[in-house]
Amino acid sequence: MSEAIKTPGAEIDPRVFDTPEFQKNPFPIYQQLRDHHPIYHDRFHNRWIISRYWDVDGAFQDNESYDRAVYKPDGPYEFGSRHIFGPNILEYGNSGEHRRLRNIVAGQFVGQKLQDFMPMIHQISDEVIDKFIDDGEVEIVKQFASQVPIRVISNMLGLPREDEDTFVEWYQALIAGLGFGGEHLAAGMEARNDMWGYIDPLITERSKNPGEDLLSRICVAEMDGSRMTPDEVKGFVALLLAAGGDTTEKAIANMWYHLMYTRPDQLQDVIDNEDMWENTFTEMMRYDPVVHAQFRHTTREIEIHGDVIPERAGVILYLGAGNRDERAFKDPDTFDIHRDDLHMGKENRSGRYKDGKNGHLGFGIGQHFCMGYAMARQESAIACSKLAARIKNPRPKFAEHEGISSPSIDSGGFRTPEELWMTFDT
Amino acid sequence: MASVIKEDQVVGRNGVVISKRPQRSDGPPKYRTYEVYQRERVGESTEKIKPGQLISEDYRLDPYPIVAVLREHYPCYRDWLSNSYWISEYNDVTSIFTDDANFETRPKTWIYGLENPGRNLNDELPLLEAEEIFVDTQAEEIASSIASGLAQNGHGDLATGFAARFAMDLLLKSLDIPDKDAGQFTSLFWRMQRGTSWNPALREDGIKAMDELTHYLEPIVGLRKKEPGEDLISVMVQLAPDNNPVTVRDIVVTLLERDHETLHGALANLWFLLLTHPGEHEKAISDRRLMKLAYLETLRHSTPVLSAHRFAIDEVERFGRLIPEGAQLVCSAAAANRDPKIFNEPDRFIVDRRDMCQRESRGQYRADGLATGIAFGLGKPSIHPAIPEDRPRSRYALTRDTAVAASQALVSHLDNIQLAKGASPHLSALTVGEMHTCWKLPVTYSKK
Repeated sequence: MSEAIKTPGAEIDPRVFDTPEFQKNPFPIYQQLRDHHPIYHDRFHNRWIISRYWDVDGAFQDNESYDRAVYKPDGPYEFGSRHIFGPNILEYGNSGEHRRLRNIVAGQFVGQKLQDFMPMIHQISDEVIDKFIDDGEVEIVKQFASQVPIRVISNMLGLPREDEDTFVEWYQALIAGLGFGGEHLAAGMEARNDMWGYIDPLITERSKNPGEDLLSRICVAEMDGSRMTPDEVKGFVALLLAAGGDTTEKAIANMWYHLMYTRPDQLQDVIDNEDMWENTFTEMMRYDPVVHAQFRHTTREIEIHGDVIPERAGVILYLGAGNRDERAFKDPDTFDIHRDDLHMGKENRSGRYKDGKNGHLGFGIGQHFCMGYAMARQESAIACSKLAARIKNPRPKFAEHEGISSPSIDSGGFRTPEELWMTFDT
Repeated sequence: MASVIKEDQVVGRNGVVISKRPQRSDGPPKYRTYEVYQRERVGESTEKIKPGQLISEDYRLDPYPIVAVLREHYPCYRDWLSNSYWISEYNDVTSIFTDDANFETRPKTWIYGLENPGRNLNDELPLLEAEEIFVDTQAEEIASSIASGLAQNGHGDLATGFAARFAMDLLLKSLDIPDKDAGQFTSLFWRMQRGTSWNPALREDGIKAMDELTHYLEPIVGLRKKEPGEDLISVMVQLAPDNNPVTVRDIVVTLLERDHETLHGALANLWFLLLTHPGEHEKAISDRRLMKLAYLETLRHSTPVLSAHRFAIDEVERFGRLIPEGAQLVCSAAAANRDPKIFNEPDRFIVDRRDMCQRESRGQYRADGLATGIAFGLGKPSIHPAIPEDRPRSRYALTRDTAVAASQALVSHLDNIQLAKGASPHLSALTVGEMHTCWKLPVTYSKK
């Protein structure tokens, strides 16, 4: 007996976007959006939604029409004092100031400069694994994924190793403070102020006597004779924690989740061939990326799909929806690390690849393309392959798992499983 | 509300007037170097409220405790979830309403996103004049006929059987809609009004209703063009703003832009408050002047229109923060009208309040400093010159006088009106953002 397939209808109640169901499984709604409302005017939240692959791609590419900043780029603004991150590069929209700040730091995360940090990533991964390797089981989120990236960043910045645990605490408070929920804000601000108090003398010191660490490099990096101010350095460090720490942490947990629960038949492929960790990373970034949405503001009226988005309207680009668009990928709802229609190698900001395949949208495209794309990929792959190499027969501890979810709208952070237990032999 | 589109304005396909403001040619914006709170979700986390509360079930039922938190702690609240700024102090709200250089209203046709929707004729002087004559001569009679009908039973529902019915009867009679079509017209009108909600299903239905209403009105408009009567459709078809004859679609848009909440919602709220405050009830029915005061106090205490939206025309510094171009401002009348800095004991319903004046509730102060309260009819004064002899009363004043006349008619037919036994009426909106009013108000009474 065949069961009638229930195809989602056209009607979307915009309140659905605030529900825990949507935080957990937004994909049926994404499909409704793509199929019935390529432009969806959500009056409840005063925003427009774009969800198809090529529309999201188009909006990312078109910086003239879609601005990341809320305010005009030429205003004499001072950012920061009531801001968890302080002043930072993301505030400057598509302006020249954004390009200046970005150009100063972007080079630190790719190429040889990134390769210099690789041995340290190996070492930290091993240290973290050492702590649970004898237990025969691990809760991946807390014991592994959340431990590696922040320690890597702390080391990249050249902070003393004995302060690493304090740094991890600040980091957790900061991330929690990013949500709508008020209760975490005060703790977040306090952590930020403590961290800045800690970093301030380091900035002064390393500006005078720069070493090889990232903090020194950022302090003295110049582009056309311009350096970051101490406040901009601090803001950048805070941003680095969320953009480079939280996202990578979630990526690592999500990769293991998908291999244990979404596609357990492909786990062995990855264990047999550690190159496959990069594929896993790429497919994870397509199938259910850490970040599902980016916000833009229109700078002009935009005609699209027979509809018009007015000037200065809020637009949400659902890259999580674009990644599941059957117009771009075959069988998009299947997780497959051997997928032949997805560009599996390193991403780039143009979103166009020589192999003619479509890339995932998980890092964005264009002017605000993720600066840490190469680092996130390598760090995740190294940490995961290290773990896989040191254990035998990894398997889920529990047969059932409630799955990946975005955090509730009241707290900050990105998509991840809450807990992920794995058992293994050594 | 700028209604009649002027020739020199360019209107986008979705009804937004574009390129109407002067271009800024002399360098950067002219505000001080300013602390800007920008990034989504960041630095805007607020200890005492979460944005979800502003679109919650609690808000739908009783918004007052929630907006009080905004007013007392976050008078210009950046609501990231709903992508808007909530303004809640009395003086701030009024300052926005009167500042049409910086903040614009967008018509309901914009909410609908309609291409070439038609023209709103509500500010056309001949229409206002005809409306004034109509309500002055007919309103009391219509109310009396409803009240005498109610008087036969000994019990009834003042929300549905009086407030809603009176508002609709008045509209039907003013347009001279045949009695046999009353049900059909009422349903189309309501569906069209509810379509301006955020709910996409209601919007779809509203668009259909607008088309059906256009279709329904076509033959009627044709007839009235040939043989005009005294009704408002006849008045409208004879108008020719900008030398372009009025179309059926213009009439539909004019009906759409009418705030149906004003009469229906305010009347229902007035009687809800009177019946739940027996002492004030006594005062109000004792004479016409006090009934008028009760109506004004109703608009302050429990306005059916909880908030009005304005949009920033340009980036502007206000209330200690920078408001970006195009930002949506939710001006909360509910919060402002209960601002303890303006009104003593603002949560109490006091018919003969000493700290509120009786002028039009445009959210202003009288010369002696008394505040007026904020109701619908918000914003800048009428576009017509203020020479009372030469112009009709404002639509706000017409609505007020109509509501008072209707209540007086009720009082003159029914005696000893009180809540039905076991009834526990309350105010609510059908969905968040819609009219906040009393939908069931069962009463008993005796015939006078």
